[in-house]
Amino acid sequence: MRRLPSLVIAASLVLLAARAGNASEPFRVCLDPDTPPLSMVEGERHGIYYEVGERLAAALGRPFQVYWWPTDLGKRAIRLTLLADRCDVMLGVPYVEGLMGPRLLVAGPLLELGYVLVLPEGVSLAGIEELRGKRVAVAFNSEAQNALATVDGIVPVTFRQPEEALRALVAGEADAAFVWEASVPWIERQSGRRFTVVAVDGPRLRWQSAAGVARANKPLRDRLDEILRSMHTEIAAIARSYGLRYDGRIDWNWLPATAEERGELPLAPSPIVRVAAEAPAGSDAQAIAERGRELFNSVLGCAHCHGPDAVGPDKPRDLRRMKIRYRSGWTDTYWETVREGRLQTQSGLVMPAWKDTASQEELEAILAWLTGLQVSR
Amino acid sequence: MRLTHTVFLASCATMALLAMGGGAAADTGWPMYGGNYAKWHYSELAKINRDNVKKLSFAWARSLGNAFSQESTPLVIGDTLYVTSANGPQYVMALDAATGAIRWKVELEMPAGVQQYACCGVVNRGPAYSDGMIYVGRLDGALSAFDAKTGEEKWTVEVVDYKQGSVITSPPLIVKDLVITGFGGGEYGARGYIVAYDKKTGKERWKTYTVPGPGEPGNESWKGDSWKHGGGTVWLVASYDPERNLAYFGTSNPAPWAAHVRGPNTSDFGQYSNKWTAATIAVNPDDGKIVWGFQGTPHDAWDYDGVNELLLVDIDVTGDGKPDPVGLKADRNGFFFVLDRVTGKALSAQPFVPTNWAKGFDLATQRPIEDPAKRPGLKKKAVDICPNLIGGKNWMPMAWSPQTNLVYIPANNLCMDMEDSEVEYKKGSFYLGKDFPTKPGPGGYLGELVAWDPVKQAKVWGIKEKWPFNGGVLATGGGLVFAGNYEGEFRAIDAKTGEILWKKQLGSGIHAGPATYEVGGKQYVVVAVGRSETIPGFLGDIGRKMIDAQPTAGMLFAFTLE
Repeated sequence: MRRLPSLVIAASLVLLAARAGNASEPFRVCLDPDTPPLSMVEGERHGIYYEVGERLAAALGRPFQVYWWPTDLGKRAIRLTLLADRCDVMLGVPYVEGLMGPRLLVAGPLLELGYVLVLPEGVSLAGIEELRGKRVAVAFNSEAQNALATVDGIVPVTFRQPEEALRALVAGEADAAFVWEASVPWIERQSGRRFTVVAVDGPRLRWQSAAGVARANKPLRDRLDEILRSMHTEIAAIARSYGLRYDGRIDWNWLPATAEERGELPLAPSPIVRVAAEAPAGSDAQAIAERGRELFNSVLGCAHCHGPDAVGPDKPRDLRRMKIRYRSGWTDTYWETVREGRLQTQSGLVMPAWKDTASQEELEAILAWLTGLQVSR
Repeated sequence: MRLTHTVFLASCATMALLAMGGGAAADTGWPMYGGNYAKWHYSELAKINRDNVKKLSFAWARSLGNAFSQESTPLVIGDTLYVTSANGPQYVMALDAATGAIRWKVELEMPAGVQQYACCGVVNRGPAYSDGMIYVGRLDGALSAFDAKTGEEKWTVEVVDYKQGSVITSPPLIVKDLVITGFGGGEYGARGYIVAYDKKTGKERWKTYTVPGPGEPGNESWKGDSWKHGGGTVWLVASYDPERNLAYFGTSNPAPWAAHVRGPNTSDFGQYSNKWTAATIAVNPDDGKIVWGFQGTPHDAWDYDGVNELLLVDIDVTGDGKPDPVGLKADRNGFFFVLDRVTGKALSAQPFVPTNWAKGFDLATQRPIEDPAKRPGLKKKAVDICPNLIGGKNWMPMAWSPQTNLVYIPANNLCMDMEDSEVEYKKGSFYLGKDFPTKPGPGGYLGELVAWDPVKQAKVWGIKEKWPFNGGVLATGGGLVFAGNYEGEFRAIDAKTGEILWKKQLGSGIHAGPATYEVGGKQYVVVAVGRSETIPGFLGDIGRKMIDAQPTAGMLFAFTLE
């Protein structure tokens, strides 16, 4: 699953959306807080995967519960959440067996995603040939750029970010944009315009996503497989309601495609080894945050420099102000700083590197607690 | 041959005077990176020599203030030594060159988090000096000028937006009234340029892109608009020929790594050589115009960055008994190039390390003779390519001795597997997508200090090393060569024979080139110590062993004869 272009940045990291209701075990779903329109913590609607998760919970007869966790760490994110029993299912993992060895099972397919050609409204496209002589905007170092480079006669207009490529289309500096499709609803909202969206079939250009389940939970995987098979129409309707749609579809076989590259590998039944879940850690957000506070104040000694309850002696050390100081990237700054330390600080003191001293789980707990402390001014 | 050498020695003496570019300190000090404009890394000083070097002993040490990779070579102007530390630089210091006592020290303010934009280490290779001012390139993409007497900051200019992954790690070149710098970031899709500023005021005087835009000669060497993010950044030191008024800059690999975006997916790439990346360019420093360019690795697909320095000497390579103005380049791609530094044409080229991506270099076409099986590409994996991407030689400086007419090269012996990588660019984040497995080169060693005869294009002697990424080299009039290795052993070596005459363990890996100078009647040799913490990260298993083998450090050591 590709990391989506960063469009709107949501910062909340751990947030529980528990639904009251029946006494049975909640159906815990791990979702990325910032991959609109797939899942997002901010806004009135929380994204396609969120709504699919609600329906899966309903089908299972269990209350729906979300564990928000960013996926930009890739496999590591899966390891820290799903495989640490923070949730029962992670929506949006690639529909590929063997991504995490035997530890991760997948149910699906959930959604098909990929690169699309975006054209002015009313312009149709029957094949690549029609792009010859046209200016096509792409993002530097993307698979779209790689694919575009294999066809002669198309004029590439390259930008660092997919958002810039779409802006060039809006500004008339390109005749089409070849971008990751999740960016498209964003530009349509931004520009108030509607575009023609053509799906592009080809190796490395399309993927299917899945519901990831830990191997100990094979019965759940099998059940989800069944439910998802009957939900395709419903999921497609949800995706459309978020602005994802194709007005056409073309082939772009820029590589001799193998089924695997197309993400269409028929899933071989994987050998099932039943083992206990890796880390039966508590998944209750309140408890995690409280543990974070305790670690910060009493155990790891963070309070020596940053003050009790993170109320620092000066602004640079006041960790309630991290979101003000580092804005949307504040959690990245948190991870970078606690892991690697910081030699040069405004206070003149040295921030130690904690990566070998504190465990990942401890650092996550502290971040969960700090998240709730952030002030806005 | 003997006769040639005699003639040649005379010409070298002249050359040395020219290359120093004036300044009374030149004969006893270390006025600029490389010791002179020609980047010889050589000093005439001979008080420490083959006969007495066994008695070389500790003079003083100075902490550099942090334990990142220390790549700085100090300057010595009069009796003051100027040095920078890693991480910004964190410190610029002026020391008493005889005692190591601090005269002034400035701690630079870097934006928090700037480290993440440095692909290959938060390093600094040292300051530059001219007319009472010290100039320092910075990780945050800025260039600062300080009063050499007091450390007072005179001006700071923003050269490039560091948030696009472009940092400055090397000292600028100072020619006449201009201070000229480039920056790094070929990995992130920058389009390289060099900029000249008025050395007094910091006012920009000219700016030249290494990758030509539409309408400029060479733009046709790029497919589509790939020139826009084409790389070719200038992040290492430049040399300068005052007689011809030409400055020589090395340029980095092209971007993106996927070569088919920039041209054909084959060794038969025709016009698509991607100028001027993986190249050396000669620039008129008065106006920034590119006079010529030479590409060691046209249409690069291996990350054979071309930044390595061009070392300028006048030697008879044509065999007509007259010295020829040439430039010597030990390229990352494994070839030792002897270039006519007036025209930019290669006069000879031979591999100085195990090299197999090309079978040779065709002097008629001025292009490598590629082995098509060794070119990775779209859906095409190439295996056992030598050298690997850190190159036959990396940034560590080689030295030239006019006493032996040899070049001393800190060489690497590594190979790799490679294929087109599935990569996506996120602003400021270094993401390569795939590993390029590093393999040991043939012969059971990973590095070698090679004494190379550039006329015969042949190795004269070598000291094999257990690890790659060993220290830069200094040659002296005392018949010596000084160089450290990754295991922290600092050595004085007989320049003629390769015999190790003296050695000291300095506590961590040594990468920096040493310097030498004379103050108060004594000759000193200084070297910065502190192993790289990032480069081994590119080297897989070998890198992990390297990290285990040595702790990090940050020290400057000075030695003299007591």
